[in-house]
Amino acid sequence: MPSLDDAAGPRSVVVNFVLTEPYRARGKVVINRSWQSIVQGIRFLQRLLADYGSVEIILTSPDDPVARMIAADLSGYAWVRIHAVPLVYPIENPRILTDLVRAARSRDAWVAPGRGESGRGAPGRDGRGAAAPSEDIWVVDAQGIAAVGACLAEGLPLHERIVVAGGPGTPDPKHYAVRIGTPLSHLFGEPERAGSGGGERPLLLRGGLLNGLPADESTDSVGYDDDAYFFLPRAGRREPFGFIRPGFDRSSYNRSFATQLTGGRDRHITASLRGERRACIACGLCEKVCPAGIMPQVIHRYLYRGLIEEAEKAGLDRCVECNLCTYVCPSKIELVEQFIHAKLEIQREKEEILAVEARSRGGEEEAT
Amino acid sequence: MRRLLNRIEPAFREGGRLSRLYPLFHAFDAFLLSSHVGTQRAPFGRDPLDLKRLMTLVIIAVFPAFIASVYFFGWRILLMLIVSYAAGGLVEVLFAVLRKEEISEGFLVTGFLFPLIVPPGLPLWMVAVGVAFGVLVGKEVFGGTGRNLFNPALVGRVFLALGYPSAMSGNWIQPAQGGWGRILPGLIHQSVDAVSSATPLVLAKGGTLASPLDLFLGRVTGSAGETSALAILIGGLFLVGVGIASWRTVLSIIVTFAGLTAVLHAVAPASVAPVWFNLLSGGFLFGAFFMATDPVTSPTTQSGKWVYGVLIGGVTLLIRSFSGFVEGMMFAILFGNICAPLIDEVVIRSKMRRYAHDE
Repeated sequence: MPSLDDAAGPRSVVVNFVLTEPYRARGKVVINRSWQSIVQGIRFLQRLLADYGSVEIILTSPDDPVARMIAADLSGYAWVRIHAVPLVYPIENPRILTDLVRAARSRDAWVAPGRGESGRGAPGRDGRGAAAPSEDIWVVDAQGIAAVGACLAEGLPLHERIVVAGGPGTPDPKHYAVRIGTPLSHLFGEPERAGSGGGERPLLLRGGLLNGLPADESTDSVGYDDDAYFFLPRAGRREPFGFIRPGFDRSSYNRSFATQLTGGRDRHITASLRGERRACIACGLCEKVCPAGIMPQVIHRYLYRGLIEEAEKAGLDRCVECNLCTYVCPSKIELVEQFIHAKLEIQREKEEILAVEARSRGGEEEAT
Repeated sequence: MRRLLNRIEPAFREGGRLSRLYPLFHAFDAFLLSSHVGTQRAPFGRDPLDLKRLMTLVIIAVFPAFIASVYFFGWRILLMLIVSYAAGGLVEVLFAVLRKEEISEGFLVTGFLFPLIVPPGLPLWMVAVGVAFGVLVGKEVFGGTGRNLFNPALVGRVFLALGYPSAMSGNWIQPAQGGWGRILPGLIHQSVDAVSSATPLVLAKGGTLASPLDLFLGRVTGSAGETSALAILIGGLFLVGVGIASWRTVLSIIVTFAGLTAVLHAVAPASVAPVWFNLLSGGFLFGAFFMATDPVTSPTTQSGKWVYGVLIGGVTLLIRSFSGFVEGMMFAILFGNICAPLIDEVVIRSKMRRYAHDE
């Protein structure tokens, strides 16, 4: 995040309409509801941009209706660029998006990649480095840009969110337009009532399948950045011989369930590990899913042996914490948790080193 | 079933009479009923694949080869399997109890594979000794499943091959020829005489090649599960199809092996048999599909698997054709296992260098 008193505007603003995480609000719903605000918002963004800045619009396909609407409404603006991205999670991750935009720009401008720009992992990568203030890239989603438009064009405060209730435990899956601050119990009914239907109440997650965090239905309310409520059933009855069932009701990243042939959906997902914690068997599934191109299993092994520096060299800070590796791990290892822990550890060590250096420098000054 | 488990559980809990045997109870419990440990962290939903299913699929994939071995060599193979599970399981349970860890599913695969890679006429006590040694030295001393360097079943086989060379190269059984094989007749008269007729690979050293059809169906002498290329292909392709065995490993082994054989057969036909013979004979296919693809002992990096496969395919042929041993698959896979961490290291280092360059 750029600091507030930073005079220079962002080099680019990425407006992202694509949410690929399962059970998140659909961009289409937001667009249908607030198209005018979105267009207004994009127009206003231009004033914020640094010289030669651009607005990068992320869509799924270059000739879908939204792209045509944008072309019609914003034609003639050289600073608007449209990128088509594949519908593959976690494309909406800000780090993935900024990399994508940087790569596209370096292709356009014939700038040698990696040089002349602060690549990721460099000290000034998030714009805090004073060396390259114009490298700031802001990422905003459809609801965010609609709010900007509504605020600047119509003078409306940020008051409404479009949220979706989904997941296998949802009594009534649909999109809602709600005021921020609405208690969740108003939206979904009192927990007691919902629980009387039989069995344990499903776990309510704020967010989608991969990054959602538990919310309390009885006390929490709609937040200013919520867009999805995911009802995940609690771990249910234990099935006899679960490991040998063909699995028509569950789908996996791996091809080892019958849904691979029938194309069924995962109706069996619950808030459980669906297996037992084991040692890493180096199956490499995490490497296959990793969008950052790192090797989680290798980093896990380094961290397991306490080799934090090796883990850092193996690309630990490239991890975008998308949780895909933790999701697919057949040994049910909490990979991302371990990585976040290690990153914090590294950060703390670096701060300590800086503090020691500062102190010793201060000592020298006093001595002179 | 649930009620029964609940009733006997307290005895295994902390302070119970049998609390030391808790891993055994836990394994049994989790075997009967699927586990449902709740998630504590995001992502709260998880992929349904777990190690139990993964290992079960391996066993299902090896099953056709097991059936074929019973068909050709009789019900003795089932007896060997029971002995193998008993001895290997004992070591596994012992270590789980000592380490107070959960029993890992890995030994179910090791115990299933082991009787299939030894001669079908091998004395049962040797099966027990071999599998126990394999699990103990091949796996447990490294810290259990996931931490072992070598394929445990192959460690057990190497131990037997070096400790009892005559038993390991003599106890072949002449395969059944009839329509029902030894499945029905075997039930009636159990004992099958072990004969020490040579395997196709030994005969090939003398210049006689077995017929392709016999080799393909498995109507030849050899280790119990390795003779039938048909059964191995059915199971092996299933295993690759469900995504458990790495197609990279299998493909690179087979392509390297076949390619090198073709070249060397053209150059030195006296010492290198033709491609079809080398592919179908001995433990090549069994090793390529079921032993070399063990994720724990093969390189963990995807690009490393190519190198690993090339290494195994090449070394197998070289040992087979130009050394005193008739079969090279076992040593080649163990050699690949040794090299796997090294291959990974090279892949990881090159990746690290690229990262450092980016920054």
